[in-house]
Amino acid sequence: MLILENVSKTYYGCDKKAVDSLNLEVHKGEIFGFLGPNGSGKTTTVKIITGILKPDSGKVLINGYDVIKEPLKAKEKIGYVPDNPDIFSKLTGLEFLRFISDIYKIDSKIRKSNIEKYGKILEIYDALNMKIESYSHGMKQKLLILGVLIHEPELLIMDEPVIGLDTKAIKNLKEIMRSLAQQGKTVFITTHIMQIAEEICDRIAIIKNGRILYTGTINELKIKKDDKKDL
Amino acid sequence: MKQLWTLIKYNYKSLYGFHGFKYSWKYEKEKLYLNFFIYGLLLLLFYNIFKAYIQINKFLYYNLTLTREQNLMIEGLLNFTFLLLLTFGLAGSYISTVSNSRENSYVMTLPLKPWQILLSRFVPGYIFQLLLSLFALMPVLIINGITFNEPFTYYVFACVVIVLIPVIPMALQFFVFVLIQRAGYFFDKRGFANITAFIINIVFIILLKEITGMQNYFEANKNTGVSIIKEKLSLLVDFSKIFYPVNIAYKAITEKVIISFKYLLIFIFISLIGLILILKLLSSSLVDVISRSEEISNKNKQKVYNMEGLLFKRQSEVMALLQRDIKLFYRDSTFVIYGFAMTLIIPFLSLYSLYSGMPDLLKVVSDIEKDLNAKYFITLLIALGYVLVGGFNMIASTALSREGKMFYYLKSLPINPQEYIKAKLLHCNILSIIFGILTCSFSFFVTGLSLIYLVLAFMIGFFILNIYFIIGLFCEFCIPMLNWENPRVVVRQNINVLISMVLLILFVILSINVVTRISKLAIYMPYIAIGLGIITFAFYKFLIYFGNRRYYQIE
Ligand SMILES: Nc1ncnc2c1ncn2[C@@H]1O[C@H](COP(=O)(O)OP(=O)(O)OP(=O)(O)O)[C@@H](O)[C@H]1O
Ligand SMILES: [Mg+2]
Repeated sequence: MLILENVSKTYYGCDKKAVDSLNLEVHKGEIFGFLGPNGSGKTTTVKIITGILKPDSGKVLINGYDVIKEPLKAKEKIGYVPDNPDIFSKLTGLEFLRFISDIYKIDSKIRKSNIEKYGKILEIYDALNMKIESYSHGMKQKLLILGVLIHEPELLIMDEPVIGLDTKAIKNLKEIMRSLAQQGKTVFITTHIMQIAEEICDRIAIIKNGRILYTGTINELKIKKDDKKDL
Repeated sequence: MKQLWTLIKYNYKSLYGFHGFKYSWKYEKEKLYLNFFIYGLLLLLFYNIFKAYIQINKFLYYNLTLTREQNLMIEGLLNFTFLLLLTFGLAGSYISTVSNSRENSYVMTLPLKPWQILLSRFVPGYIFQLLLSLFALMPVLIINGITFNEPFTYYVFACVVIVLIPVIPMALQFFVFVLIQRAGYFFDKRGFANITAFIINIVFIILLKEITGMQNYFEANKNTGVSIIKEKLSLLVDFSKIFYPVNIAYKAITEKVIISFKYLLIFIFISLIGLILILKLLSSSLVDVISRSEEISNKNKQKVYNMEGLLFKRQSEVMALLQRDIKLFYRDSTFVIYGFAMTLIIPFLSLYSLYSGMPDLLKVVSDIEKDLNAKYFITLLIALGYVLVGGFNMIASTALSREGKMFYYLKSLPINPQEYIKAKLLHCNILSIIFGILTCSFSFFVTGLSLIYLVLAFMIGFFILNIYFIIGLFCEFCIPMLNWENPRVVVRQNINVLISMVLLILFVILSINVVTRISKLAIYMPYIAIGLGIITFAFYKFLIYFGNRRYYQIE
């Protein structure tokens, strides 16, 4: 579903590589966790996957399409929840959702039923008539999550989705992710909380200083951990 | 005290953005040179106004000395400055009291007293007003000093007056602005922005017209010119019956040393009282206003839609992008200043100048039935008017910068850059077409030209404007300004805005020159229209081609 080949990125004017020859493969239908401490390159990787940043070298394939060479085809398949939800503050929630639905070319009926369904699960439905600037941090985040759920993407990419959400919302989000994975969709989340990864991720990758230290399941990691303590 | 100083410096920097220079000097010299170049060009354009102003001052002053009435001039100008500060200077008070940014709410959390916060916001606005009073008063005071060989104290007193004269107008404006905001939401920030922009624009137009008008008087007939101005000056002097402090300032400058010193002390005293009054009375209100500006008023917050209705209907990508763009533009108080109010002003300008400033033009217009050339000449003028009106809003030159960090999110969506560019161009055109139609129908009533000419004028204007928009968008695609926290930066520190402003003004000046020199317009007319159409199309194609690649490179 998602393949990263030798992806490297150095920010303009920096000497250090933010992401250093990254190789990664995420399979269809799994929930993949991307772990690492602050400043390790998680957000950078996500931005490269979603086509926001251009990698210096290497390539990203989404469903077989190269993000750089065929951006539209690749992006139709993904839904992205950024780490900073402060966007579109002058629109109302519903206007934002309509915009997203129009961009992803979703039918009137589907968008309506999905907004109602997921909006109620995420408990944001009643606030949709208000301007986004009047939302709280968590509400904004829920709205962005709702924005990607409208089109139920093949690949759901969420950058730090649980930060700012309350316990109930986290629980609901986990359930949504599970059900999406069961439908054969792929979920890619970043986090620096091991516990979250442990609870929901099928497989994880650990990144530090732009390099991947480990890829595999949590259980394998626990066995390994006894040998190597530095993770 | 040190705290206060830091805060003032901080406010000043975040408003005027000069701290960028030091950084630019170190790391991005090319950008700095480009900045200097463009600011230089702008200064050159405004330099002419200043030069004209000094000339008028000189001329009038010497003519008034003949009848020993030179003091009338000083008194008149003091009143003029006061009026200027009260109206044009609104901008200063606006940025000090109304406009807010996220950083301001952070400042609220610091251990500062309310009066310190008020003073720190007072200073940036004051700097703007100080520049105004320098501009208005300096020439005549220096001329007066040199002519009468005034003593050193005269200059010192004059300086004190110039420095202190903005304090009272600003205090008055603070009272109005803060109390209106405090009393409740008569209008939101957008309303304030619009009204301020409106007043400032009107004053600017009147000033421009008066200054150029005076030059015309002198060229025509010196004696009547002087007497007309004398009338205007004494009209201004009448104001000082209302603005008592101006009277004192006048005496502080013109009386003999000892007497004037007494008046100077009174003037300082009055100004200080004004300052202390607003510090005492308004500081807690201002703090209240700042903290309330974080809240979004109810009126703005809740929009009731029929959930079943329109919003679920599917629309095309371009329409979705366009709608979003329009909403984001008009719902932000920063951009709205440059939208409707700014543009609406220009028809006012044309009306006003048509009836008073440029009698020659009216004459030409009323004589048009004579020959075809004249008709085409007017057609071109109408087209130019349309260009000026339609190009003044900064929709194109802030197109990408306005998005800010949102642009990165847009990049992750499957948006075709081509559609994105189309939506931006459409947005530019919507306002301009409305104003184009207004300009043409207005000209219809004034000139009585037949419809064909008006359509031609509209087409020419439309093509030129689109070329201008495309250039603006092209610049935005080249150097967009995406990493900002405060939308004011997008307009005030954006090099693309400067470029397109200079372009527009230069273009209009140039084409007026060209149009008035070509005698046989009629022959060229069809070629001009067709040529412009072809150029527009070529530019459009190029923009699409360029934008398609560049869209993905912007990081
Ligand atoms: N816009 C930028 N310009 C320059 N360097 C950047 C930029 N954004 C991030 N970096 C650098 O890239 C590296 C990786 O940052 P990144 O944001 O990917 O970390 P992260 O893993 O997402 O951290 P966090 O857990 O805090 O979100 C850091 O060293 C950071 O300093
Ligand atoms: Mg991050």
